[in-house]
Amino acid sequence: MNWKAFLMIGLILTAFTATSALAIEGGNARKGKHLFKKSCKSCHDSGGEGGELTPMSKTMSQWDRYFKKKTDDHPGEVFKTISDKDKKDINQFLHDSAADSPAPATCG
Amino acid sequence: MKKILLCVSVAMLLSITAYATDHSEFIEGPFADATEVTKTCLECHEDAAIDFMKTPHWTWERKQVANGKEVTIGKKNLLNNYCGTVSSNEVHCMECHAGYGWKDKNFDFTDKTRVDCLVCHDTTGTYHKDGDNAGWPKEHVNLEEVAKEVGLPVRQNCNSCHALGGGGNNAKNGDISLVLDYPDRSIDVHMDADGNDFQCQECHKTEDHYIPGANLQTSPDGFNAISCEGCHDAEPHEQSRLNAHAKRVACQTCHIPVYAKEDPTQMDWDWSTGGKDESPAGIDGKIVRYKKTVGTQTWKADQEPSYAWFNGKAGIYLVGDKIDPKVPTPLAWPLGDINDKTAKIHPFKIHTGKQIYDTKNNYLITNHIYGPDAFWTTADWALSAKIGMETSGLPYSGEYGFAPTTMHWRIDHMVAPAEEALGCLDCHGDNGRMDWAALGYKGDPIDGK
Ligand code: HEC
Repeated sequence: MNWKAFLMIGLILTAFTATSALAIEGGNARKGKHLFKKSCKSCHDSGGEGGELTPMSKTMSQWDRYFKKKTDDHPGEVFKTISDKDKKDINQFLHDSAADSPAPATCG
Repeated sequence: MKKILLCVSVAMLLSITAYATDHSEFIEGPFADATEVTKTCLECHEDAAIDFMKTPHWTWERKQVANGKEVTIGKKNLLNNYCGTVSSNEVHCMECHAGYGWKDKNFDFTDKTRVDCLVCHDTTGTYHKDGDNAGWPKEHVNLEEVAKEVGLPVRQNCNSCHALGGGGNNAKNGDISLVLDYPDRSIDVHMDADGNDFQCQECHKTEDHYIPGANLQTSPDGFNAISCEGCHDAEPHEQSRLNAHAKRVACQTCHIPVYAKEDPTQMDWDWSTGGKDESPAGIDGKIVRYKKTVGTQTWKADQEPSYAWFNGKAGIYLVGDKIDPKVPTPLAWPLGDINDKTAKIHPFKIHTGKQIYDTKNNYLITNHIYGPDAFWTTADWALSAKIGMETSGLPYSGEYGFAPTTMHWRIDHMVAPAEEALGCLDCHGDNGRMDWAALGYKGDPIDGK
């Protein structure tokens, strides 16, 4: 096998693991929309202490990365009080309506 | 001893209920296709399909008397103000049929494995039907996971079709939109997700998979309509004046001051502009929208209802009825008037439109809009009219034009909290919202007229 083929396989493998590891699935996006309004909008409306946040504030993969890696660093208790299921539903909603999604949404 | 027996039976009962709700132990995938899931459900719920197949959610038709005739009608064969007719467009429309594979006239209504249990019993929110495949689920749905998590329907299940029918969120009803998935109190005092949190079945009391309720067009006989008196008594107010109103005014009239809260509803669909590459003037993309495939649509939120006398029955347009293209043809309208003692003033949404009709035979055309040879693909009115009429079996002259149509929709949901109900001056006095003359009064009845 020459190095080009090797590199190609490597690239394909990375691309595959990257996409399959990132894309959230199995969450209830419609419930997530409700939970986002209820648990997040109080601080993340325009003028809120967390700054305005809508699904369109990030791309699909940025949302997924935030929910996977960064919620422990989020100020306050909110992410410690919601269940894993709720977190997944909110992630699904934000992902499905993200800036680069097929159906971007500003409303929350 | 007695106490112990009681404890044991309570424990058994508890374990049975816990058992009954958790299906994950009974379900084993993977499933080759959705009918395999149904087969698994029917192993225990033997009668479920037999019961369900008797209901209009499966048949999309029901024998009843409409316009004085005995007819068998329903979504299957009526003509509405939105996409028109189901016939010849099944592959698309059956996204909202609780079954699998109804793609043309040859669908087998006796095949139990074609019942779609999951669309109503999915609790994961990940089950979606495919709008391009005769009611089969989308390919990416994880059938095993959805089947393991089944449960009683919640608003989100019903909304998947009842809020999204007619081509988008709240297109049709006006009072049923995705906002009812998880509404707050001001949207609907009964369904308030943080309060009463009523699911649809709380009022649409379901028995053996039969879900009562009467849409104006598909149940013009008003059979099994829901009424507020199912829970509230007929004289619910402290004020006798208000109770006197309740004899001639439906509860909904005062208690649903506006519909299409938050989510806009479609108010007008003008098909006559369809098929053009350039959009007509006056399109803003929000309230007035244009697409080559559908023509011009007008969408509005927070609408004040229209009011009409309603005795629980309706008149409807039957396929083949003659029209006068110069005046709007109503496709569904409430029956009753001021002299009809069984009628009350009731709120409605009136949807208007322009539809394709046969200019020689003077009736509406059953148009073929979905498929490779249909309007959405070809933008060819003449061809789609011809194919659509062949399917429905109506003679077609080959010449078409566009005629105005209207359709009434009952407003029953989005009930406001009592403090937001209409007050006296909302209807009476100088700035009242009622058109008394249109209702048959000589003037404002508060003046004794
Ligand atoms: C009690 C108030 C509060 C609540 C509730 C809250 N947040 Fe935050 N959030 C904050 C604050 C404060 C920050 C930090 C803002 C900054 O650093 O500028 C923040 C930051 C964030 C950030 C990073 C901002 C960015 O632009 O990357 C995200 C994402 C976020 N929050 C998501 C959420 C989600 C999702 C919820 C609901 C589950 C939520 N927050 C609920 C206060 C809140």
